Amino acid sequence: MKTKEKDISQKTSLKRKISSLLMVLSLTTLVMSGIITLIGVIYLRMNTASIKKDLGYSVALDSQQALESLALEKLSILINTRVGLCDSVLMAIQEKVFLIAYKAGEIINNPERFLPVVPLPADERNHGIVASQFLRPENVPLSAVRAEANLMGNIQDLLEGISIGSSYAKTGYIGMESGMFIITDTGSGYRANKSFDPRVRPWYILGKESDKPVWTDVYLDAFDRGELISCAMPFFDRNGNVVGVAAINMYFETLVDLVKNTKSGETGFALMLNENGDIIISENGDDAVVQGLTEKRTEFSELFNDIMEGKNGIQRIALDGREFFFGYSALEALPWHLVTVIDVMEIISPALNIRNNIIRRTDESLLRYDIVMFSIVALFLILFTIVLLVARYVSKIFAKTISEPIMNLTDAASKIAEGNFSVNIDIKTGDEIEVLGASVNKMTDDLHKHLEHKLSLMIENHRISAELDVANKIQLSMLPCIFPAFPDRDEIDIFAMMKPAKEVGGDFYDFFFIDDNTLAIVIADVSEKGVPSALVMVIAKTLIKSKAQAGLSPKEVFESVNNILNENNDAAMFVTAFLGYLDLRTGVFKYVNAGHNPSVLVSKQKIEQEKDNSENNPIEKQIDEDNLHYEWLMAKPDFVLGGFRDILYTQKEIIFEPGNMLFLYTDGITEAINKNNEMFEEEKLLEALKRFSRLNAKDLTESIRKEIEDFSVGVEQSDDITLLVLKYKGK
Amino acid sequence: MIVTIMKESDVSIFLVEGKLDSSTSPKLQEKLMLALNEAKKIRMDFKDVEYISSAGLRVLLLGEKTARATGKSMTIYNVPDRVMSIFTMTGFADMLNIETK
Repeated sequence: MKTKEKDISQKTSLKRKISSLLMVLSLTTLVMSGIITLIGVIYLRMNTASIKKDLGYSVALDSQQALESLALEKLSILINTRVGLCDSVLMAIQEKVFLIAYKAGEIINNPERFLPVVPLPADERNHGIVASQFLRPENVPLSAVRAEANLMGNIQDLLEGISIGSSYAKTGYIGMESGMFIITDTGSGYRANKSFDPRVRPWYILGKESDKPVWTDVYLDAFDRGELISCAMPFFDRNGNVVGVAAINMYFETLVDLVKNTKSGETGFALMLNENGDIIISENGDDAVVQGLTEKRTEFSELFNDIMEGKNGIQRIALDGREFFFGYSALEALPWHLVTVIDVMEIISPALNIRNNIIRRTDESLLRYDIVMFSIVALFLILFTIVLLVARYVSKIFAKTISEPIMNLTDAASKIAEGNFSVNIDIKTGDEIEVLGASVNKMTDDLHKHLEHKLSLMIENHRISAELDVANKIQLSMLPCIFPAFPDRDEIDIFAMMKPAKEVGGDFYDFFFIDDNTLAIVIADVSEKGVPSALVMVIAKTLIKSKAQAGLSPKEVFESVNNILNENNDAAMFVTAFLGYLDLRTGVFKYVNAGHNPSVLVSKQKIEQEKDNSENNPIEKQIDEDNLHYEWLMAKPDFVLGGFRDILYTQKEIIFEPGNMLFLYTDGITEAINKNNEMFEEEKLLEALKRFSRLNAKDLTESIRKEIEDFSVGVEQSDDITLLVLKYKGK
Repeated sequence: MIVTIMKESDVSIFLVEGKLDSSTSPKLQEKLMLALNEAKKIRMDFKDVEYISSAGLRVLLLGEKTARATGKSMTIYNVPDRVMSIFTMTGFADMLNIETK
């Protein structure tokens, strides 16, 4: 027991199992929830990553496209407005040139309507303010042009008006065939004391050949004031001959400013191409583009063709690994073309920025996800450790609360097993263990009571058994048991035995001398078995013997004993009995039968017996090979002893011859049962007697007894067995 | 042994089956004594009685004695030969009310 406890105390103990179970349960839950959370976060992360990336690209693409179309629209509007602006500036100048030419024509052809206005030469002091200046070639004397100059001085008001009132047309002038020249602007200082011949100037040469305002190519200012273009128009005399040319200067710088402003974004710029496709203005232009356009014109033939054909449009051109939008439109006033260029990258860079922002932010949020994820893992590991420790502690305590009562129970059980019933299990766990403890307590009490009861029963049984042993000895000692019973009587050979089914029996036999020559033999069977019948047996035997020895005949003995036994016989115990007196001298045998089994008579020759139909004769007489007769001793089967009072018994008488034998028995013989539940029966008894009848009384008794034992082998004896053999030898 | 008891007014009919020996007789005794308290007449059908021992005989004697003492009657009928020979041998045949076939 102790060693067993030690064996299970470690790995397989309940405590260990419960704590392991709890650990496994809690850790499994934790691990599972951890894994689920992690999977969720990873899934979310992956989804977010792809969604955000997609979103980034999609937004970038959409905004790129939006930006591009916006830029194109803007570019288109820009180019058109700028071309319109240039045109309107140029047109305005053309109109003013027309006005000057017209006025000059009016003056020259209608001198009578104008008073002479003397034009003044350029005066340095007027520099910086709008002033008209009169100049003439060196080789033309003032006198030659005096009259004409005084007449044309009338144009000065118009020229001054234009110069003051116009944004771009700051310098208007006229040149005459005579060589005289009147100009109005703020540049008096440049021309003071200078001579000038307008007739050799490009504007004059070009304007003279035209009949409407015409623009010159770019040329250098006569007074080194930079490049310029001029719009010129001739005026005629009444005969239609050119008498002069009116013109307005437009400094190229002004045009460049216009073009320069025709740009979009930070890197955009504008170009002006003339009618030959030469780039005449490329201020702030990207060198690579300008150079590329100049040198690789053939590569951009489509663009150039469109431009040169005066088309209006936008093209996307790749150049040196970069992309540009080219917007172009033709001017109306001049055969020139305005081209604006912008780097596509600049247009779409906000979109790219958005995309990059989104991607960057996506990466940032992914990083945050990763941090969250690692935090979860770290948190999980910390939790895992904490739960591991807590679960280990808690489950140990919990398991202890479960296992401790069981250990107590085990201790108590081993004490109970050792016979200590005073053990009281006190478990207050409020669960099934407590119920079990209470049950064990009750069981202990019950077991204790039961054992005590058993013990008292055992003691009682032992006492009874001992007493019955004594009773058995007393009973057996009451029966004649010393053989040979009468060694000095040669006339008889008598032997008897009684074997009770229980410790004490109800059968008995008896034989005794009533007087010197009369032997009484008794065999009886008290109803039932055991102690009650043994008590009756003692009474019956004593009564029969005392009555017989008192000198009563067998009939008188039975009638007397029957009445005595009937007194106070509430239990209705009765006795079947046979009583016979044998006169050893004469062989006369007197007998009565109170309901007892018929005895067997063995004789050498037929013995006369009274016949009676009612007589007890179970089997016909038989004769064996030695001519011995076996027959039932006829007797009227009178009623048993103890049944009813005042029964009259029938006494019979036969005469024994020497060699006769009487065999008395109780129903324990004939009703002996074998394994097959068959009875021994009278017939078998008779068969056995035939075989053993020549033996002496003792051997015959033993042989019959053995025969019964053999027959009933393996079956418990159910009834008392009693045999009595009387062999009569005679004198 | 099986005892079946049928009651008809003041008559109790006992159907006795099997062996009447020391182990079964107390049961019959109990029922018989009970019936003798209640019924005026006891009729015992012995058709299916296989064997009767002295214990069985004692119960019948007790029944007969009780019946006589209380002015009632106990009758046995349908007695098989085997049981009848025991009744005869023990003299019970003359002392009990036995209806012969």
